Amino acid sequence: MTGRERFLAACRREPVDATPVWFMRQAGGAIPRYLEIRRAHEIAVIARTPELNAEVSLLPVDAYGVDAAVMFADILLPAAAMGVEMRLDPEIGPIIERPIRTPADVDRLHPIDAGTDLRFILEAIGIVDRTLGGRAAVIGIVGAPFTLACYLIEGRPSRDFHLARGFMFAEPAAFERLLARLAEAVAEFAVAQVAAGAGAIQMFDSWVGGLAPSDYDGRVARHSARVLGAVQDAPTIHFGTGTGALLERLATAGGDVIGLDHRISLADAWARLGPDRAVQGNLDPARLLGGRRAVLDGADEVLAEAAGRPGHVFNLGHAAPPGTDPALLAELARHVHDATRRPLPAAPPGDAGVALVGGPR
Amino acid sequence: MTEVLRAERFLRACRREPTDVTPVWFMRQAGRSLPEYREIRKRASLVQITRDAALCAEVTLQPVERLGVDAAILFADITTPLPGAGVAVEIVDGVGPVIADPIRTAAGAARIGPFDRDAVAGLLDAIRMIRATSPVPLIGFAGAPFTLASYLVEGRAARDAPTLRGLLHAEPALADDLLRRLTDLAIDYLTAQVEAGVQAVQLFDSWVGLLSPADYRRFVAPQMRRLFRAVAGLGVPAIHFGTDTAGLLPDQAAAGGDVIGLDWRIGLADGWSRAGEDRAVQGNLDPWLLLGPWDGVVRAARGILAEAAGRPGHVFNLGHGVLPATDPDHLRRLVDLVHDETDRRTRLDRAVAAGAPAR
Repeated sequence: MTGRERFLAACRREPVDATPVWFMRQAGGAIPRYLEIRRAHEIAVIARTPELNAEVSLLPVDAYGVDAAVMFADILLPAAAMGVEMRLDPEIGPIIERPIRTPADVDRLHPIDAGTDLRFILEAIGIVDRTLGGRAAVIGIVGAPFTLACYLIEGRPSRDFHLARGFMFAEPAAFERLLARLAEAVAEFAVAQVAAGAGAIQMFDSWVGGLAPSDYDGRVARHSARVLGAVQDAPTIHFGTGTGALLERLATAGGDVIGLDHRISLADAWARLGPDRAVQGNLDPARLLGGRRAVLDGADEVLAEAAGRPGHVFNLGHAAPPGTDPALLAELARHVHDATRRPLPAAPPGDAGVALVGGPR
Repeated sequence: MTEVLRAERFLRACRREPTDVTPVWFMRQAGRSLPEYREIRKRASLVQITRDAALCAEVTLQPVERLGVDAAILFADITTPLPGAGVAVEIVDGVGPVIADPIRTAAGAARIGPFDRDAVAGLLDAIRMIRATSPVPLIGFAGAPFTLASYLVEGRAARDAPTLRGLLHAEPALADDLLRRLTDLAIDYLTAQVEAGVQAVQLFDSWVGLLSPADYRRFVAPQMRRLFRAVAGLGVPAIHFGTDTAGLLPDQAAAGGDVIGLDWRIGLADGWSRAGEDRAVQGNLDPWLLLGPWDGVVRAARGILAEAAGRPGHVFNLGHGVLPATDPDHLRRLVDLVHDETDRRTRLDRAVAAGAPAR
């Protein structure tokens, strides 16, 4: 199987010849060629120049041997297209110049035309897809409406997103309007990415774990469902962190694959989600700070919990720590493939045998 | 009658015995949200308050009458025992505890010496003073070893505690030594508090939710088991509190605690079934709700009480500490709401409690 076939088959819970693997935020990091590009260009320039973006997004496929290329993009791109001014602080992350703090601020946001406003990323997706030629899948990313709202209200990354949750309780109607507008824009962007060549979409709801389950139900779930429901022609991965109490609710909102962070055991989570979902995850990224043995042992524990069931995409539980040695990530990807290599079941008669196109790796 | 019930209900709920109404207290009920506390802070720092028995007792008791809560919690910081054990800590307004010289080596961990009772003499005196006057039980507390370690290794609150979590895997022996020392410290500190008179203890493991279940079992659970075994020997109920613990609750409950504290990120009924029906639970209203409209608080509080469903063994609390901007009148109304909604006394009992002649 090619990486693309392996990854997409796992998303559909079909048998694979080895467990597919990719790493969140793999585009970037400490790959030497990326560091070279970074010395020549600002991050924003790389992100907005299709050729550069495509090159950076493609690097991990060879550097790590992963089965998917994830686009080098920030989840706040559609918000920028909606009129939110922001800058990227290399130390802190995205900083919103005028955070959303009042209902009037919400009404400032305008709808987007993804084909125009976000054309650079759509073009980059096209380049990556053509360059890979099926060797690896292309994953487009979007932010979930709630997580985007957290950034827009808070104005910068935060541990608890206190202001955002305060706004949610103090201005429930404006909060609802904000999420609805974000969902519209994000849904359009996700669909456009698939049309441009993305083989799957991952929606990041990184801060959803801060919500009480009742607030997720009452204020957030339908907006996530709006985005995931809009993507018809490609599998979706629904990822959040700290979601141990919310998993069933995330699955109800949508996603062919549920992305798990390291804070819950993969076997427990999968049992709660049921066999009709694929799962992605969930090696603790902190193990990358502990050296080779800590990483490979941790990977074996994750694989043991997955127990070879169809529908596991191997990943970290969140992004790799900055500066992680590329050789370690490459060894991890190789280890996952080697440790899970298995014969494919013979295709039943009449089946087109899609899984076998390209032959064994 | 009323006062007898009020004095009893928190400890009874910790033991999962029936109570007249569901008991209520709030994490961080003493302190920054009360104007009378902010008045004291104009002339004394947090550390000074914890070292001055009369001031500490006053601050601890401030919320008891004003809010009508069913328990007092000793006013202190989780880092309070550290200076006596040899680790300098500065409490910085707006930041929290800051360790100027973070612990990242074996030599650093060796700086953590044994508990020094004399270094917290003022606090222990405060406990005796509070016991002499408080109409409700007094809860003592300590920081759990992993949470204390996160401050010691990172130097201050750090969102993902990356240095500590990396250290677990890079230097497991050092991590074990550090956690063992902090556990010894917590055991001796809590023992001193109980001997001085606290009637229950809470372990705050606010940062433990960062861990994977496997790492919790490997690094934290053995120390927590040891800690809870020691506390059980002191004869007071123990509350085991953490945040973001949905994936860890069964392991936490297995490690110990008569009462499992839940944050707001999990439904109370779901959390209770994961912790086990043989435990009491405490929680779990989102503290941020108290900054919004009152009807949102009412709806959420009723939702939590519905999930508790009148089962013995629910202590009502917030899912984390009271926020500084919280209006104390909202807290008072919330206490009354919980008491009213859960009143299990008959009409006759209520009439007696109110002093009316029984008919």
